[in-house]
Amino acid sequence: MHADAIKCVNLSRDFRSKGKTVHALKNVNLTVKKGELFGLLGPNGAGKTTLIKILTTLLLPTSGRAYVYGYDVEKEFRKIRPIINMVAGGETSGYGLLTVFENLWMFSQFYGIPNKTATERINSMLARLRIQELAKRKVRALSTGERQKVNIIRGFMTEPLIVFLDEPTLGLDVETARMIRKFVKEWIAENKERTVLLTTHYMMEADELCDRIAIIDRGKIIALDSPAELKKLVKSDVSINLEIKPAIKLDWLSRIDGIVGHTAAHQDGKVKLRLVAKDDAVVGEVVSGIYKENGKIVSLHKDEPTLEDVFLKLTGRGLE
Amino acid sequence: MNVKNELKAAMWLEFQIESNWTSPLIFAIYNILKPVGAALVLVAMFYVVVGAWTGNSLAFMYVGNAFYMILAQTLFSIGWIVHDDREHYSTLRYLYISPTPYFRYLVGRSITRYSLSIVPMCVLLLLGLALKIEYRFNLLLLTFALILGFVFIVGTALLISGINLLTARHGGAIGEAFAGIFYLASGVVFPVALLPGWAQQIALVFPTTYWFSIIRIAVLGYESDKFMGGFSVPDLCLYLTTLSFVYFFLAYLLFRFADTLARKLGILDMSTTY
Amino acid sequence: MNTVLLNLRAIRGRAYPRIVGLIREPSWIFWETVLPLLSISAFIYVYRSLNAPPMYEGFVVLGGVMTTYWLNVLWSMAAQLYWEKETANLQLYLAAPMSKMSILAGMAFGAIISTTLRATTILLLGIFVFHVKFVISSPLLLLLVFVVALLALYGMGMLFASLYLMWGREAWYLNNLFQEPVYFLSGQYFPVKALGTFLAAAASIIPLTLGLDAMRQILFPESIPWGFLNPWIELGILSVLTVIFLVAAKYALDRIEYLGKTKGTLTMRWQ
Repeated sequence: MHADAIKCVNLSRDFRSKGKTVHALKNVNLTVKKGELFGLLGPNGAGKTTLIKILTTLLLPTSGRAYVYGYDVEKEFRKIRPIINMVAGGETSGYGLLTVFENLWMFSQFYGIPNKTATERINSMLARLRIQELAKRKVRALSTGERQKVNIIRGFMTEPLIVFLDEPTLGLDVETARMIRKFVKEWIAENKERTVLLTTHYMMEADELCDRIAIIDRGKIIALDSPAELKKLVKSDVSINLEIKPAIKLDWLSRIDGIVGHTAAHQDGKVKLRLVAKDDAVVGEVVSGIYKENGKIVSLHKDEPTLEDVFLKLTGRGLE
Repeated sequence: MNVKNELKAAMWLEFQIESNWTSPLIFAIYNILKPVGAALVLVAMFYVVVGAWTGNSLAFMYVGNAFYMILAQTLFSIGWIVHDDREHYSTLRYLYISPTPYFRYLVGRSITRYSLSIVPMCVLLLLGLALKIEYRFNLLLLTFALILGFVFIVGTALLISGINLLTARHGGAIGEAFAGIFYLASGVVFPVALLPGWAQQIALVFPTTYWFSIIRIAVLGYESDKFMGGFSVPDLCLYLTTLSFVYFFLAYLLFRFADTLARKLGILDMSTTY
Repeated sequence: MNTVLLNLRAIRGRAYPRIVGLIREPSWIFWETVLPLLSISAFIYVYRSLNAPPMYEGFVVLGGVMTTYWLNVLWSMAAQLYWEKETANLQLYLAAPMSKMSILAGMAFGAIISTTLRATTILLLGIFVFHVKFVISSPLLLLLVFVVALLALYGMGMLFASLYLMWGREAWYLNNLFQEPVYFLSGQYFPVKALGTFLAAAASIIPLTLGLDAMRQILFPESIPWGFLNPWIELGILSVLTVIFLVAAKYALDRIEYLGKTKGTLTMRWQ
């Protein structure tokens, strides 16, 4: 069997609409090894879902090549489909009038799983995700979190070699998201042959789960390494969190030398500012700038560098 | 937002949904071909029995069918709205929480569909000349019928929408199927006099029975249905007006009941496709 | 894995919601059985108003029975892949290893069961309410024509399902458009020979046309002079049509999947 679970070579994908061309992926080169939990981190519209669609045989590349378990996504898609599965966040798959068990059973049939095996797997996974009591409930009566747990079971019950998770915890509560992350970690640890490709724009999720991460922005991979190595990119920098009241203008920040990047979130008449700077020296200048704008600092503290800071440093923008 | 703007927005939406999938020419053909197909079935049925392409019975069924198309096409279109909003576009919940009452939104969309259905009816009447149908139009009576027709057709659309709020989306065209009630019981393509006595009494409850009778008088100049021929034109108009408004009012009440029940049962945004 | 077994299981999987849906959402009985009976009754009264011989009422019942399948093909087969795309199931079907034809076959199987129930109701209405008398002159030929006509019809539905997927929202309108003109061209309630040889021959591409014509001749022997072709020849043509439609459906499905993957429209909703 081939060594690489996924391999992309100069992979590009364009979308054309009304005379305009959008370059969703630009010359992506990527290798994911078997047994890896690989993350694709990037903001909305970065090209993550496009890449997943290509790798799951739903979309063809405009140029370049992509291989899943050594099979070409363009020519050998029939060999890929039995060994993969996918789960997307916010998905409403199946039929609302079927029960959870029936929906899962139906999908198991599309993978040719015998009845007895399908029943055993479904029951065992329902128990594992602590939703056995939902087996006989109609899918249309499920909450968002419950529905996503069912989707997770749908994606994993066929025992694929590679699972593609596209924002699997999107819009979920903390507890459900945590349970899904735990499940994914345990699943991949059970068998060295298993691989997961996860896309997310939650940096904490990528940091917690992934062996390696590719940071993708505007269709290009701009960094690829383990979370620890990626964070080294901002090791010498300083990350500072500020909370300012009221929500003042911050366009002057970009004129200060030494600021690598910043993100600002406006909320309840306040602004939460995160700065990545080359050193502490900029703090004085930032503070006086805030006072000039008649802002008041509610809190200020230094922070450990995160993957978001890496993204900020590489692109000058935040992930959200 | 005032009522006029709300209706305008709903009318615009209906037109977009109905027409923006294709070019204006294809849309025009589409709008006409279906009613023409339905008329040709009747013409062929007439031909295989009578062996001719013209006759009084043909005029009866041809004109009835041409105007029935307004009813059928409006109900066909409106019959899908709730299921489409709920399960296709997933917009039902957002429409519900907007300041425009969903009922008013349905009325707005019905206005457009009803108006669009008048065009193929005119084309059919024109094609009727080839079948030597002799028209003796009473435009005042025809306008009166078309206005009242809108009232009970929208009433029926509301009734169907109310039922749709509580039921699953099935494959077929339910609005059109519903229109079949009137097709059978209102003397559209055959005289009410042919129905059994009990069915004739039911026919008298529907505003459509009076509507089609008025239509025939307004278009052909006579009513050949012996049963409906017993009514004078003022009586027909009175019955049509009264029943149309009673019908609309009852349909509105039923829609409101279904609306409340759907929210009570928590099925307003259910997914039922299978 | 055994491919045949995989696809048989996939057919069973997709047919399941169709069959379960009939039990769980019984409102279809009202919409799809009771209401269509009314318009069929209306057409029977049309013939009565013309003082037509009883045989013609039988044409309406037979046409009504076969039309239920045609409507089912249009609304529950042809438009279904488009609907699956809109409800986000299609991408999961496409990414699964079974043949996509199995999904269509599963849908068809489930749909035939529900439609047969409806068709039977219409038949019973014809026999018990309108006293239509059928004379089955050749039971074997009748069965063969019925089964092959259905296969051809659902084969056509499979082909349409693929094409509609490419046409997107237009599919819904095409369904609506096809209904009445096909009623006319296929001779739904009257002998298709009345349309003239040229039009009747052209309309024979619709499996309903020859299926109905053959069955009319078998069930109402006095209508044989109105027959378009010999029923055995019609059976032969229907068999050829079945093969053509199924092969074309397979080709179209593969081709459209490829085009969809190229253009990126397979998973794009609301288009």
